[in-house]
Amino acid sequence: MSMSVKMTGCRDRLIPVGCSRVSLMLLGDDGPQVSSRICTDESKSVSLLEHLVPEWLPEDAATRALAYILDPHVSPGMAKAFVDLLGSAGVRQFRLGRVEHDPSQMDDSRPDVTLRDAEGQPRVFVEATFWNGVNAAQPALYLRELPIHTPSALVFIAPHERIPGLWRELTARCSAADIDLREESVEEDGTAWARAGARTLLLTSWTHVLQALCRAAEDPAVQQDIIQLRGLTDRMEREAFPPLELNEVTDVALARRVIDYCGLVNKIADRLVSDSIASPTRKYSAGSYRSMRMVNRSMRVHGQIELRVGIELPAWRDLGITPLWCVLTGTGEGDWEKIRNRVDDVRSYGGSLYIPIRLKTGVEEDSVISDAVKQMRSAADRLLEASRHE
Amino acid sequence: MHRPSLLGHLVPLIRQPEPAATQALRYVLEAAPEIVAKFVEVLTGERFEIGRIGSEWQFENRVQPDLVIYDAHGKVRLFVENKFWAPLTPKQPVAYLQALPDDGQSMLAFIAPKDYIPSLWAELTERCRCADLSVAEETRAGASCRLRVGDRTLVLTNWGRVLDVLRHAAESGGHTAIVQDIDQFRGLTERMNSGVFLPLRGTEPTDLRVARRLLNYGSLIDAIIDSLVEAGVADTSGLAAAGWGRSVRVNGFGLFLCISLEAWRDYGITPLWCTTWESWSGGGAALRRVEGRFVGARLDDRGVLWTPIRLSTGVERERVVDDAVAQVRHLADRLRESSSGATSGRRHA
Repeated sequence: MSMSVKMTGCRDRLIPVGCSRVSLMLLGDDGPQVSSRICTDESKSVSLLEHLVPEWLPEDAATRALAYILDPHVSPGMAKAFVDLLGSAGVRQFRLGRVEHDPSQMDDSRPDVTLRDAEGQPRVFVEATFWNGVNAAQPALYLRELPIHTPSALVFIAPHERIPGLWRELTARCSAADIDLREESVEEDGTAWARAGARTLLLTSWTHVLQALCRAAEDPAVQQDIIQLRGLTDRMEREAFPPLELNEVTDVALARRVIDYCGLVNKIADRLVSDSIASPTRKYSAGSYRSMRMVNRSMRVHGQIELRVGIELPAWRDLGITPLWCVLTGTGEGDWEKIRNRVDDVRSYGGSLYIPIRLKTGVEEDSVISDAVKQMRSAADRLLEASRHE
Repeated sequence: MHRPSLLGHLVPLIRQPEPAATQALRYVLEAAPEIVAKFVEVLTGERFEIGRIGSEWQFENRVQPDLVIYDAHGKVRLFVENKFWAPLTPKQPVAYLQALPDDGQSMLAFIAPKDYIPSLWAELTERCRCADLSVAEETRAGASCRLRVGDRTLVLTNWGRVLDVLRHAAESGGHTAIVQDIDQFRGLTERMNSGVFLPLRGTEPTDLRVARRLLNYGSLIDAIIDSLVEAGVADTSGLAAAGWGRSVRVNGFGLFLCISLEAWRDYGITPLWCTTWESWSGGGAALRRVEGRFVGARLDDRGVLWTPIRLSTGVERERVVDDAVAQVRHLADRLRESSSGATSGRRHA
């Protein structure tokens, strides 16, 4: 029985080394790119994979990582566990042959990963996606490439919140291509599937797949790899564009609230200036969709520490806590450790240090502002102390 | 600053204002028959013998109006929905209208802050039209908007108008304590309509879904404009992105596609708006003609035309973008027609 994972090209980032177990590594032209500057956030663990994958690569990286995890040479039993996962849709186990993934052909014409049986027939196609659009070959052409009489499956893996909208899209495309889907079903975990003869079309979530694989993994190194990939898929789930709901787009209360937050930024900044804690360094900025910031004010506190106070959407989305953040803009990474030792609640995020400005709930606006200014004053004093201990 | 009533001060601090308003309204209506009679009269324009007042009862399709008013024969005559700034639920108003008797006498009434009326009414009527309900010409009388929908009536009025009537009825009946209650209640509704900061509730600041959605909306700007450019109908040479928007030229007309929190707050409909102004788009007369042909479009007093770009719901992002691209192209086509004087008179739905 021949089993192989085809990973071509010397720039492949996920590289199985022979048949031995290796940890999931990212390799570039100069070998492993494991930065010594990796700084995980205290409040939220960030996997190495999540941290290292550049923003333009996540689908590619996740697909390669999944193929690597499913490779029977590297992670014995994982491909079988993956097929087990399809059991709820009636897809039975088969004698596993090759697991194929060819990064040089990761285009519209080929499925991302193919699981063949011992006779060489394709039995499972896997398409890994986050929120990229559905390409022209999906799902009709892929389904037609599966055997007619032997049970087989085309599996899409996507962010959980994308499942309802993507499922509608996939089934509509099948219908447009005259593929008659039957026995359509949605499982409790959100997995949706339907049958076209012996072929099954199935859509499930990254969370579901990786949880199942992690449960099945006996080797701690494989579990670690799955956890690494989970970090990346969690980030992509956060960044997804789930289908909009009608009451979301017409929610004027939300618009009012975001305007309130913008107002708070200005009022807090004005108070910091009037209390002589800070002096403005630049004009007010309304932010932009490209910087992914809303209103922000740049200032210098205690005459020397440069920072920006504003609505930082990526930090809010990824770290939660609050829409309002103080970002240290004039601080080099060499000073981070000192600052972290003296300022509570500081977080490294996106290459800068962020301090959350927590918003008091259940009180009037004046109290929210006073409390925020108090937090800022305390942070500014600590920052000053840190700068004096250079 | 105007001092709010005790109720206006306290309710937003301790609980959701809308259920509190429902309870308060029911309390006032049940205080005296002449008060509820006046309430019914101001909403329906009719007088009938009132039976009972119910609340939070479930009707077909799990419709659960805030208040239900029955006539003396036990027939449902009126559903009342109290709004401050909450959006309509997916079932409002269509399933609510369908849950009412179709005897020509029933009515669904929404009560909302004065400033919310224009966008709320646009959304209510749009949803009726999109559901293919039989919609007659709408009428406006004083502070109320009315729409005959098949054999039922949809009405929207503001809190100030309703409370004026209730107060007058209470005063005429000598119900001094109720007059004070109504004044307290008015303080709450004025607070909710004032546009001032309302206390943040429990998990609001930590709701990262809001951040994600704002980023989602921002990401649509480039996707839509890039798609227009790729289709060969638009160009962006010499034009730049600015703030939460980006300029583009379509059919030779300058447009600015943006996320506008202010337009979203004031007009509802959508966070994504396409603006243009006289010098970019063929003059004020052309803009006025285009305004009349897009539901929800508004020409402001600075001569800027704001056209809502509606975001398709329940579909993939690609579809949202495609549909928005079609709307921008449609707008540019209408601008071309209007600036050349050609008009078809058909409204874009």
